[in-house]
Amino acid sequence: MFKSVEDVKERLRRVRYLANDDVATVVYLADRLGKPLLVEGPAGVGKTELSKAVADALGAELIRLQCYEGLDEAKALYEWQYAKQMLYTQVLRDRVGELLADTRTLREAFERIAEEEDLFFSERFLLPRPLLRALLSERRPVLLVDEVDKSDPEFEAFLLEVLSDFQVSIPELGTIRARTQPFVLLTSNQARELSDALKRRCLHLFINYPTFREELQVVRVRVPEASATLAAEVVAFIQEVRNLALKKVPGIAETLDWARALALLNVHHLGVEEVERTLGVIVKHEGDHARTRQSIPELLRRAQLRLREWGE
Amino acid sequence: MDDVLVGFVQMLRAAGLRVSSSEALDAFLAVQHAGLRDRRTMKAALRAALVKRQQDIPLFDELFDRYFSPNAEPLPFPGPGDEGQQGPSGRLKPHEEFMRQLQQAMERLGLPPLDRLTEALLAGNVTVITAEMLQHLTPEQLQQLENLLQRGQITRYVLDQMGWQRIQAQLIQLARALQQAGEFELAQQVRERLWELQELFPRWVAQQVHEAYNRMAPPRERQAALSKTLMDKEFTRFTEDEVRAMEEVVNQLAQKLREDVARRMRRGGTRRLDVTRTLRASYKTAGVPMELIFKERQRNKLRLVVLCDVSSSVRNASRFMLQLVYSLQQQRGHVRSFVFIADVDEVTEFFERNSL
Repeated sequence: MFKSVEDVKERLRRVRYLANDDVATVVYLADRLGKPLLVEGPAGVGKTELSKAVADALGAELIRLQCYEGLDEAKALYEWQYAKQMLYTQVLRDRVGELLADTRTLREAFERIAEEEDLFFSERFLLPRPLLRALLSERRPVLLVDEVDKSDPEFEAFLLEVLSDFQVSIPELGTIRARTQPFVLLTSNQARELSDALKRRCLHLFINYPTFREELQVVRVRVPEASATLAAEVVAFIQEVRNLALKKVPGIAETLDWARALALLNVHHLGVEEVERTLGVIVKHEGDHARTRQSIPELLRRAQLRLREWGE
Repeated sequence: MDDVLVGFVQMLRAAGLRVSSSEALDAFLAVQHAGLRDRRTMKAALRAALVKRQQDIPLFDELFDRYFSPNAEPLPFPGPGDEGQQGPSGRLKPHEEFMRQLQQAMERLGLPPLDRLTEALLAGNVTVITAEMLQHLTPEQLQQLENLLQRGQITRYVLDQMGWQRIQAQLIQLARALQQAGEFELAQQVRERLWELQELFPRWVAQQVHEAYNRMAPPRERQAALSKTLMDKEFTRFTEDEVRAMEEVVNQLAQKLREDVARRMRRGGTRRLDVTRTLRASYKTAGVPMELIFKERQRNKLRLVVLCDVSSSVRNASRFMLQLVYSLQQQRGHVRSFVFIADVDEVTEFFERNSL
């Protein structure tokens, strides 16, 4: 558990995630109130990264459930290991034969097998998927339900059930209750509007693209090999690119990749040529690429102006 | 503090945000945990508990700033004593001195204590007054409000509900009692405050009603207006807002369609066993079907060819129709768009490359 909002900030900083006041406050509350935290925002602003950082900061295991269209309960909760059950029956075939050797009627043999039925539907053959793993975990884990907006509405309803009671029923085994209530984070790119019921159950955090200063700090912390000037220039440039109304706007992840790439290439100062050579790192859509490429000199000029304004 | 939060939640509701009781409860807990020392923390805490849609965030921020900072409050209560005195916490502390003297005098004279609202009005405690007022200013009432005349009615109703007549009587009595006890200066101050309130308070309430109405009106009004006018509006006269609204509707429809398709793909819940392939796979495990293979349902990708007439006979409609074609193409699936006047030409690429 986190002790205070400042504690959240400090511990996240130690695992190299820079949280602003809003993020730290909401994470602290989610932890304290035991409520799931729904994190929304454009792609690449560090939503998934936040979950990893929270897990690291708490020293907890991160259990990740990646959502996609068609994800169903079997993949999210548990599956019977059919092949393993089959293998055991095969290996034990002779033993079963011995066991049934003295039975005279079919009914008798059947009854005897039925007595041992529990063996084949025990936890031994249960393959726990992320949700069940989170419930069975001995120490409080961090459960990340990633991109919940990609899942189907039915799955969302099912998730709601699990998240409100923290228990599931498996027909063959009975009800399994959570040993410790996990810290649940859900992320969404807002591909579709989530149901009101789910949103009501969660605390909500909206993360937007960072400001120049926030992003610069992140770059300095995450990519120490990039020089101070380069980092500032990279961030200023990216901030300008975000104003271009592209199809796929570069997120923080792209900024970091780019800074790393440039540092690797021994670049100390951004010029048209350097940007052109490495543009693929930050702009990944074909149409966007052409568009950004045209305006590199203009973007660089504006980035320089902004840098002077910020006094960097 | 509880009253203040209840008042705030009511204000949010009046402004058209949907806040459930469980969320309000979360807000209480959140504030308890986050503490009150720091304005920014409290804002973040309340926002996390109460606002669940990105588009509501600006409205929430605005309302929060208005509700929780007395400086920004438009209530003109200068009152007796020194004006706009700043407390150490940055909050206004209006007329503290006057209130302290008054309370001492009342205790000394054995006068009955004032009720909360009367006291708040005397002291100019805007937060309490607002909370009290919002209890009587419900969204249902505001919905009935349709013209300016009714606005006056609602104002009167809210004043009645708050016991404005009773409050005035109480203050007159208080002034009289103070006068009789020889507290002339205090009596005069109370009387002056009463006159001030008589002039300002109904106006303030009217203004609040007006603002509450404006806050909740836009989405509702626009929506009603939209559905009413879209039917019989000429295509050329669509405003940008309406075009955007239409785009949103198309998005929703497409999303619905996708969900329906996905549901049909999963229909029945069970998959069908592919016997042939399961048997074939079982050869490698000595005839034991270790690996089950299921039949995959074929899913055809949506392929759409859209043909749009933009010739002069339908010129009025063509802007709207092109908009529709564009929206269609923005959806997933394979869409090729063509337009024609005399000859057909493909415009898929233009739509792909440019946004509106």
